Amino acid sequence: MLKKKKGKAGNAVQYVTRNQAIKKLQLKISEFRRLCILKGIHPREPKKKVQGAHKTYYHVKDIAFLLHEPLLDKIREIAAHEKKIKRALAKKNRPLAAKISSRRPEYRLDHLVKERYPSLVDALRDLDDPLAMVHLFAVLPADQTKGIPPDRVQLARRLALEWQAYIVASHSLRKSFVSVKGFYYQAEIKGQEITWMVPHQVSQVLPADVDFKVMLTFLEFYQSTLQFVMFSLYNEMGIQYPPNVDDAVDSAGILYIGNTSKMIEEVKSDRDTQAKVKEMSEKITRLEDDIKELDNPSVVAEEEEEEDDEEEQEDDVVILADDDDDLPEIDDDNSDGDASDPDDEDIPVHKAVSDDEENDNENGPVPAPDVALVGGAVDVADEDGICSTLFKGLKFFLGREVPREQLSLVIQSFGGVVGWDGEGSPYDEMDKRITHHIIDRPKPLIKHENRIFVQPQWVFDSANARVLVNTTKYSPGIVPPPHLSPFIQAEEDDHIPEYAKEIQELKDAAQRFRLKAAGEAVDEEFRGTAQPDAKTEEATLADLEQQREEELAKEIKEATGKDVKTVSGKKRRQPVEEKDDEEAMKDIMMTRKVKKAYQRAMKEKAAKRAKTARLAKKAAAIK
Amino acid sequence: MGRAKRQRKEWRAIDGQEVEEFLEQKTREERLGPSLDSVPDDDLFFVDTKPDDVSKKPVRMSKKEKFRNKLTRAQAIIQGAHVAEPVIPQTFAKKAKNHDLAKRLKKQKQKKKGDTGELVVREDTGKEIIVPPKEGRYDIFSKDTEEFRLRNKAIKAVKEWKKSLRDAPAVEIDASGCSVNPDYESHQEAVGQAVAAEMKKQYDAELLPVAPPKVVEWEDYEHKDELERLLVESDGEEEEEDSPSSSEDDQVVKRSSVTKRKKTIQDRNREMRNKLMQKEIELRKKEKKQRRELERLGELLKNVESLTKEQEEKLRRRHADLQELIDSAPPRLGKHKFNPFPIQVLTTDEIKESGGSLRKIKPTPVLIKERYKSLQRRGIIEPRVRVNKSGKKRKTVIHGKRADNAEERQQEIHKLRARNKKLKSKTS
Repeated sequence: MLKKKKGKAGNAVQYVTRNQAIKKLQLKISEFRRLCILKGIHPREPKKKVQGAHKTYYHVKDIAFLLHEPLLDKIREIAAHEKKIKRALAKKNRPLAAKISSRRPEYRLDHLVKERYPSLVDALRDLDDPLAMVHLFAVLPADQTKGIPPDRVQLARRLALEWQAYIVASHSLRKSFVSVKGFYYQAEIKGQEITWMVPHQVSQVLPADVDFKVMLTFLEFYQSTLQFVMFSLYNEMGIQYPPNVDDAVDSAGILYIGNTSKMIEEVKSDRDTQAKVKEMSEKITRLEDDIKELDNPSVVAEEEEEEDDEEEQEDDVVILADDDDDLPEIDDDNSDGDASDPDDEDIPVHKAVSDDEENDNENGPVPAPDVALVGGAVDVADEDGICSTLFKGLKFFLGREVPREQLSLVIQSFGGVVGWDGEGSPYDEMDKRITHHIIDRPKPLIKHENRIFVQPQWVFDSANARVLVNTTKYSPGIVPPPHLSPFIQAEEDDHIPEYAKEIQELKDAAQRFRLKAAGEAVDEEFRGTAQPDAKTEEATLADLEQQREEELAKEIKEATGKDVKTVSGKKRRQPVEEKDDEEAMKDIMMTRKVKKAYQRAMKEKAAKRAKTARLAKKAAAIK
Repeated sequence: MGRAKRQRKEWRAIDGQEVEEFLEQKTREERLGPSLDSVPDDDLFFVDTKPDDVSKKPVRMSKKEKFRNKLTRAQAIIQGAHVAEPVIPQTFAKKAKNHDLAKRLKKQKQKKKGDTGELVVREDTGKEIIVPPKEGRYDIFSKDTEEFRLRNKAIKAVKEWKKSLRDAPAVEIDASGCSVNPDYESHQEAVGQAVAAEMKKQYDAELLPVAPPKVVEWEDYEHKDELERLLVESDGEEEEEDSPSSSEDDQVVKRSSVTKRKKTIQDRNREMRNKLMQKEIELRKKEKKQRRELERLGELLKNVESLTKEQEEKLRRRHADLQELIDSAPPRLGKHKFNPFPIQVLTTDEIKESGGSLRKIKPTPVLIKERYKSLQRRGIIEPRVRVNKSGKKRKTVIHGKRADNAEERQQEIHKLRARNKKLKSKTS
C-alpha cells in the first residue's frame, strides 16, 4: 500500500497559509486584509500547523467565499486605477492624472451588511464594537500622517450623536460606569443588551504600533452598519433619517442630541395620544356593550373581572396623559415647570428629614421611604418605567467644568431636563426652577437656596441604583462615596462594599414604596415571602402537605368511621436524619483522593467566608 | 454536502454586471454629458419641410448654371445621410420595438426618487433594474426592500458564527477597582493585578539569556572575575580542542575495524536458527498468556471498565484544562504572542489628589490601542509587531568636531609653549 504523504489529506488540507490565500486571490496583502475585515473573515488556528507554527492560517472555505465576492473585482479595479494615476504622474502628465483620479471606481458595502446581519436584531447583537469604535473616532484628530480622513471623523461624530439621541428618546439606558478608560454604558434595545464605551474628554494619542489602516477599515464597515441600524430604529420611531436638525454637529453636540430626541419624542407623543384616543373610543364602545348586556348580569360579572385589571392600567395611563403628556405639545418647559414647582421646592426639606430617619433606624425593619428617594418614578414598578421617569420633574444645570454630553445623556434618558452654560440652553444658570446644579469644583460660585449642588458622580450613582441617593454625601468639596460598578454581580461569599449595601437598602425601600404606590401591595407581600431561601419554601410545602393529609384522614374517617393515623409527623422529622446519613455516607464512600480535594474546597470556601467576615468587622470598627 | 455544493454554484451564477455597468454608464454620462446614442434622433435633428425661401421668385438660370447647380450622385448621398435610419443590431432593434424604449425612458425620468431607490431601465438590454438609494437611506433589514439589491440574486446570509467559549466580549468592562473613585478593597485588588502583570514582565526580562559580548576591551577583561573571563575565552579554546579529539576518534575507528570479523555461513545459519527459535518462544508465551487470560475473563472485563472510566476522566480533565487555557488567551494566530492591554487603574496617590473629582483624574490617552488589542483578543486579527523599516541608515554628523579637535591640539601646544617658556626663564 502506498504510504500517505504528510499534509496531503485530512485536517491539513482544510487550511491554507495567508501567503497561499493571497496568491490564490491575486491580491496585495493590504487589500487582502481589507477584504477579510469587510467580509468578516478571520484567521483560524488549525490543530496541526503543517506549514509551520509561525504562520497565519485561513480556512479553505473562507477563501473560496472570498473568491466569489463581487468586491474582489472592485478592489482589483481600484488597484489598476491607482496604477494609471501613478503612471500619468511619472510621465509628468498632471492634467491626465487629475482626470483619471476623478474617475475612481466606487463600491458599496450594503450587500455585506445584509449578508452578515440578515435582521435588525442580529445587527443589534453585534453593535458593541461598532459603537465603541465610532465614539472613539469621534474624538480622534483627523491626522494625515496616519491616514485618518476628516470626513470619516465627522461621520463618526454624527453617528455617535445620533445614537445618543436615540438612547435619550427611547429611554433605554440601563447602566453606566465611569472608569479610568472612559464612560461605559449599557442600553437595552429590543431585548438586546448593548454595551459601549465613550472616552473621556482628553486629546487622544495616536500610537505608532497600531495599524490605522486596519482600524479605518473596521470603522468603514461599522459606520455603514450603524447607518442602516439607525435608519431602522429612527424609522420605527416615525422619524426621517438622517434627522433634519439644523444645528451644526461639531459646535454643540448636546444641542443636537436635545433637538433630535425632542423631535422623536414629539412624534412619539403624537402617536401615543392617537393610540389613547383609539383606546378610549374602544373603551366607550365596550362600556356601551356592557350597558346593553346589563339585562343579563350573570354573564357580565365574569367579563368584568377580566377587564378590571386592564381598566385599572388604562385609568392610570389616562390620568398621566392629563397631567403631562397633553401639555408639552403647547409648551414643554413651562408646563413642566409649573406642574413640578411646588414639589421641587419641597424636595430638599423632605430629603433632610428622610436622611435623618434612615440614619436613626438603619437596622429597623423598614426605613420610611419618601418621594425624594424614588424620584419621578413614583407609581411604576417595572424597570422600563423607572428608567424613563427617575429624574422626571427634576431640572438640572450642568456647570462649565463637567462632562456635558455624558451627563446630559444619562439625565435625559432617565427623564430629567438639562440646562447648561452655553448656547441653546433652555434656561440659564440663575433660573429658579433648577433643582440640581452639578458642579465639579470645591465651592459653588453662586448661592441659591432652592437648588442642591452635587458632584457629577451623583447622577451616575443615582441612575445605577434607580433611586435618588443621598445628595449630602455628594456635595461639592468633599470626597464622595466610592463609585461602584453596576456591571459586577457579587457572589455569595464575595466582599460587598459598605456603600453597595447601603444602596441596596435604599433600593429595596424604594421598590416597596413604588409597589405600594402602584397599588400592588398585596403582590409585594407575596413576593416578600417567596424570595427567601428555598428552605422556608420547603417548610411551607411540607405544612401544606400535612394539612392536606389531615384533611384526607378526616374525610376517610367520616366516610369509613375508622381512625387513620397521619404519617406526616414522622415524615417531617425524617429529612434531618436523612441529611446526616447522607453526609456520613459521603464521608465513607469517597476515595482518599476525592475526599482530600473535597476538604480542600470546603476549606477554601470557609477561608473566603472568614475573609469577608473579617473585612466586614474591620469596616464596622472603622465606622 | 449536496446543499453546500449547490450554494457554491449559486455564487458563480451571481451576476452583478448589470448594475455595475449601469452605474458606470451613468457616471460617464454625468462627466461627458448624455451620450448621443441614447437621445432619440428626433431631438437632435429635424426634418426641414419648409420651402427654402417662399418670397424668392424662381430665377431664370442659364443652361450652364443649371448644370452647375445640379447635384451629383455623391453629393446627394452625403446630403441625404441624416435622413437614413440608424443602424441598430438586430436583437436590440427587436427589443426596442417590443418594449417601446422611448416611452419607458420618459417614465423613468418621472419616477426618479431620492430615498426609495430608482427604477432604471437599461438602455442596451431594456431591462428594469432598481438601484438602491444612498448608503444608510433605506431599510436594509425589512423584507419589503429585498428589491434594493446590488446583485440580481438575493443576498444570502452567512451562517452565524459558531460562538465558541473562546469569544471574549467586544467591550470588556473594567473591574470595579478601575473606577474613577474606587472602593478601597476593590482598588487594592486591581492595583495588585496591575503590579503582578508588571512584575511578571520584569521577571521575564531578567530570565532571558544574555548573549556574551562580541568585543571586550582589554582593561575590562582584566578586571573581570574568573567566570566571566572563561565565558569570553570559551570561543577561542573550542577550536583548539577540536583538533586533538578528532585524531583520537580516527584511532578508535581503526581499532574497531580490526576487531570486526567476517561472518561465515555457519554464523549466518546459527543466527537464523536463533531468530526462528525466538519467534516460536514468543508465540508460545503469547498463547499461554491468552489461555490464562481467558480463564479469568470476568476479572479482566471489570478491569477494562475501570480503565475506560479512568481514561474518560482524564480526557474530561484535559478538556477542562484546555478550556481554561483558551479562556486566558486568544488563539495563536501567527508568529507573535498576544500581549494584553495593561489594566488601567489609578494609583493611590492619584486618587488622593483627585479626591473623587472627575475633572482632576488622568484618563487613558491611548484608547485606540485598547480597541486594537480587543480585536486581537477576540481573534479577529492576528497580533503583529511593528517592523522598523531598516533601509537607509542616517549618518550622524557631528558638526564642528574636527574644529574642536584642532582647538584642543592647539591648546596643548599653547600649554607646552608656556611650560617651555617657564623652564627657560628659570634656567636663565
